[in-house]
Amino acid sequence: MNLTRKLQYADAAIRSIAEHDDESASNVLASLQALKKRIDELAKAAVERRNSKKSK
Amino acid sequence: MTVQYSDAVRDAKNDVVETTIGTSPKLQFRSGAKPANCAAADSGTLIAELTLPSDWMSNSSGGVKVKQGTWTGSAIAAGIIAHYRLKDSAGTTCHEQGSVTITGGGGDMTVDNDNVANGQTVSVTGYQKTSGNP
Repeated sequence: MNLTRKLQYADAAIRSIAEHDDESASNVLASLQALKKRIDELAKAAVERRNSKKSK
Repeated sequence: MTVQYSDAVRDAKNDVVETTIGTSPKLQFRSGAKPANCAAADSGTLIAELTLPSDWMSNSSGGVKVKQGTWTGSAIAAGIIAHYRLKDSAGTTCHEQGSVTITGGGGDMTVDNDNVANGQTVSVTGYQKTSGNP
């Protein structure tokens, strides 16, 4: 499955979290912020993985 | 009662299998009957273990998702392949299992030859997922 399709599903899932109006705003914000943090971690790991492959 | 889904939902059901299992999963070919379920321990002899491509399946389309890239590997033992187990990239957690037959034999997955010698190349010839919509 290509990146475009994965992004579409990720976007749908994130939108679904953001629109969880039955949850408190603080819960929704905390969830989205945790997600942002996770994305940053994964982005950093993805770059490091590529750099380590290049140096081998 | 028959439940019917849009193609978008059928495709999402298929595609989530690939994202849950992850990139470059391990495909194990084993002899004998498959275990009772995915959580059960491995059974039979491990005849071959293939590392599938990073992007190992196509985007599901019209409720059908097919394998992508070449799925080939060498047998590490002689035997008759009868079932497969699809595991995460570490080869530890089984996420899917099914029957294997030669091409045209009606298995959940088909291979070019199911009676292999040690070291012989094993190639997957057919594997797809169809999210039914009666």
